[in-house]
Amino acid sequence: MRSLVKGFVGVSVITAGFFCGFNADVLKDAPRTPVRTTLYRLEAAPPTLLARLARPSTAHAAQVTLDPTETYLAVLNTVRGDFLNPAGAAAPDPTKLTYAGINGMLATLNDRYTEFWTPQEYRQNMEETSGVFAGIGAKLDETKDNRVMITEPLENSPAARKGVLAGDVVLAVNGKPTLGLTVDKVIELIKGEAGTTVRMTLERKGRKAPLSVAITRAYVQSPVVEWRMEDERNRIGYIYLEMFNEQADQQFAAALSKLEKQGMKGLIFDLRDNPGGLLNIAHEIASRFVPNGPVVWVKEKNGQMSSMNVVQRKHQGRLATGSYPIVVLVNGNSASASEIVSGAIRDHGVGTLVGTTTYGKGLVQTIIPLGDDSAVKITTQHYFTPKKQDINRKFDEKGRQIAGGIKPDVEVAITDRDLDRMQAARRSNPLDRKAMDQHDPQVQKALGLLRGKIALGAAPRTASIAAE
Amino acid sequence: MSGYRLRTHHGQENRLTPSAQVAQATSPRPWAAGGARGEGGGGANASGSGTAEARRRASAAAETFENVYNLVREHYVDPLPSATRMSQGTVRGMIAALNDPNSYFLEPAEMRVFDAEADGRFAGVGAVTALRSVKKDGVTEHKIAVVAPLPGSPAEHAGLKPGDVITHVDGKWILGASPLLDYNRVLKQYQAEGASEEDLDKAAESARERIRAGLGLHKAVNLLRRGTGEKRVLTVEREGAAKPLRIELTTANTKVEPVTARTITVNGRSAAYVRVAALTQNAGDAFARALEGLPPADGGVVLDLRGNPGGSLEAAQAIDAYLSRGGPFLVETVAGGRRNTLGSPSSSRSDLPRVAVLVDRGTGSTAEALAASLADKQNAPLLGARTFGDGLVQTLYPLSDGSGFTLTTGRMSGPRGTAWDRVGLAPRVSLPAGLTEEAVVARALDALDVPTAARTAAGRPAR
Repeated sequence: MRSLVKGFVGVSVITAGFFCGFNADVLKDAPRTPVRTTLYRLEAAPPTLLARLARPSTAHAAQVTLDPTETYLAVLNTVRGDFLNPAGAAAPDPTKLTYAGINGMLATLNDRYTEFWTPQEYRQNMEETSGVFAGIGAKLDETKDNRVMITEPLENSPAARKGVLAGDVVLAVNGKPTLGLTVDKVIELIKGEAGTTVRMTLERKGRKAPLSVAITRAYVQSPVVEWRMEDERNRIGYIYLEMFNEQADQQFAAALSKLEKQGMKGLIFDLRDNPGGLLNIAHEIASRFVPNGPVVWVKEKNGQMSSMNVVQRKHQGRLATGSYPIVVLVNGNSASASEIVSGAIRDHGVGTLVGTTTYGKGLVQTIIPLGDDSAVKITTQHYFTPKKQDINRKFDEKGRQIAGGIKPDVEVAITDRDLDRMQAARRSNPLDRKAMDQHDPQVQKALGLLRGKIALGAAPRTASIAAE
Repeated sequence: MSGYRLRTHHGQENRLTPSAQVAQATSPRPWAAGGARGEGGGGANASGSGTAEARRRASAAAETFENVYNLVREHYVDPLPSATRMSQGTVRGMIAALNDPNSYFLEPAEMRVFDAEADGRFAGVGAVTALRSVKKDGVTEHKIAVVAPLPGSPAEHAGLKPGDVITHVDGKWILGASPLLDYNRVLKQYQAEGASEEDLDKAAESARERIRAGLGLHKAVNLLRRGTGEKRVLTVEREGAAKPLRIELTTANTKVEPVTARTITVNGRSAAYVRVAALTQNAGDAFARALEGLPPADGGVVLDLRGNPGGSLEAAQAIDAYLSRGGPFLVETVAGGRRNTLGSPSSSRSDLPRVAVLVDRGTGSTAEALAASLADKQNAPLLGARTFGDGLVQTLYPLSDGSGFTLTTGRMSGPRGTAWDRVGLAPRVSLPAGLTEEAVVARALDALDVPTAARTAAGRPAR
């Protein structure tokens, strides 16, 4: 499982709030309702407001509709004017109250994907989406003896420029010993603003004295792709995609071309634990696999269905011509954009899905920035696979899931025992991913399938699906 | 909630309230007239808390709110809940952000419970409770404490006592504090290498279990206040009891007769004995009627507030006005530290009765305010036991869809500054439990006969 791979320096691990759509058009023309300024003059709230909200004099008068904005303003004014904090703390902060009100309002939609982001949350999410972070640019992991090791200095990163090598063990950060600290804690210590400097004490194989390196943090493009020639003999390549951020398609293409140059005869595309990301990036990546026709169908608020068809300029090269067989790895944490890509590959018959049923999120969100640097993420579309399958999870009255997700062609689960073995292998040598994959039944299954197909000759393409 | 007022109007509270308003305040729907006077609950006050910067930020925040609402309306793919539902969610979120257990949103059904209780019609177990916040190890924990079981209620029959802390309902643990607190404590130890991974797992499992099986504070209060004919099991911590008590009862409707009165004659002296069991909205009127229905008593009035958990502030004020020459009733410290004096216009009534007040641990909130006012102003002796100690005022703000919310808006003290929040009022004369009404009245009349100078020397209720 990819969640075993510990975080990157300068990368905050993705939290639950994955999203799929980032509709640039909506973003650009974000409808900004003209502000009725009179409503916001808090020092002189319209005197009629509370009066209008006050209950009619008869107890069971006809139900009156409340307007959220008016209600919000009346409550804000009332709380700011009247609330006495028994704990003796200061007056409630209007911004905090407002955000709480927005969250309360959005909670009534009962849609966990429609949510409000404070300026801080928005910044953080945008950082993840852009794939650019402030840091030293190195991946870290934990070893068997609970030490923290650098597994990969990123290309052209501050760490690489200072000669940091894979395998270096981090002994101290800014003089603070790392002994007994978790890898996340060490990453916390190393992180910081661009332009600032961190001093690291490193132990390197073959050197007696520890090294001390001062590294100035900078913005680095964080990799979302991990790739290797998994099976050298059979020339089976492996590409893992962590998420669909703005860098994802470009990094995927670069990895693919390196593997092809090494004579790749089969590809494992790992979308396990990939929570999704940008819709347009999923569209582009899927277009590399799917020959023509729809990659995904989207249904708008007004019920209109339209297809997003293959981006032809992305559909070229050896992958496009179907010159090698493909296995896509998925699991219950493959969500959203991952499901668009795996759904397209499955429906068009250009690859085999191996693993467990995917998460089941058939919704597209649009992120709309707001005036005070906060943002709101709204579910704006439903999506369907090219064969118009609705993969969104559905529940019965008792809250049990009854449908949803994409069932893989070949179901292979990972047991706790497999996980323990994978973890042990990883910790004994964080630099050797293939050693871990030896104990990964899903990767092993993929390798087995591909070896068989390679032996029989390349897989034929299936018929295309018509667009509308 | 044991002490509350319905939404009143701040402009008025800075001076003494005209008597007309006292009468009006005891009418069943004081907010009916409220709208016309409503100069805006926030209008006058919000200006006090606003620098230009604060106003600018507030205005930007308000713009954000309206933008979000409009954007969701325009773009959300599925049908939206009604505007009213979304408004209710807004209020719920805002009030919850205050992190005050006594400030909360009420669904229309919960508002109806509130209305019924203001009229003296209680359902559920029939006990008035108060939420107490206790700070322990830097963490605030909220507890449901019984102020008083109501007369004739299932709670009274089952033996629930003032001061009891209810910890479980039907065996379900009440989440008075986040169950994650324990977990966080263990996590800290773990990070400092003071706890093992196993300890951490155990703490996480226990937190999960508590969240799964626990009752939210307001859910628990709702279980206590609603329903008839349903069996409930309460687990109760009582001072002096070695282990928690298990109290079984069946919920029922309890109609509280707020005022009962009779003349009691002991040793040739007579007293008008008036028991006010709860301060329902009509308790002020009922009090006046009851007292006027009694023959004149030479010994004075014995006002029995034992087991009175409080209720309407307006009703307490009306009774105070009736038993005193008017004037200040209580001082309320409100937001921003301002002090408002509530009262009635002073009169030079000559027929003012002498008053003694009976109190005990079940005397709470606005009943405590009434006792403190009479002690402060009239030098009325308090007899009995130390009172509950609830000095916070909640204001109920009804919304036009039938929902509403409460806010903690003030802290009460007597007209001469006697405070009782969290500490209670100490009686001048302690009385043992179990005395007959006659014996209690005899002691009260004795206390009234102590010469004024000596009474003053005996001091005022403890602060």
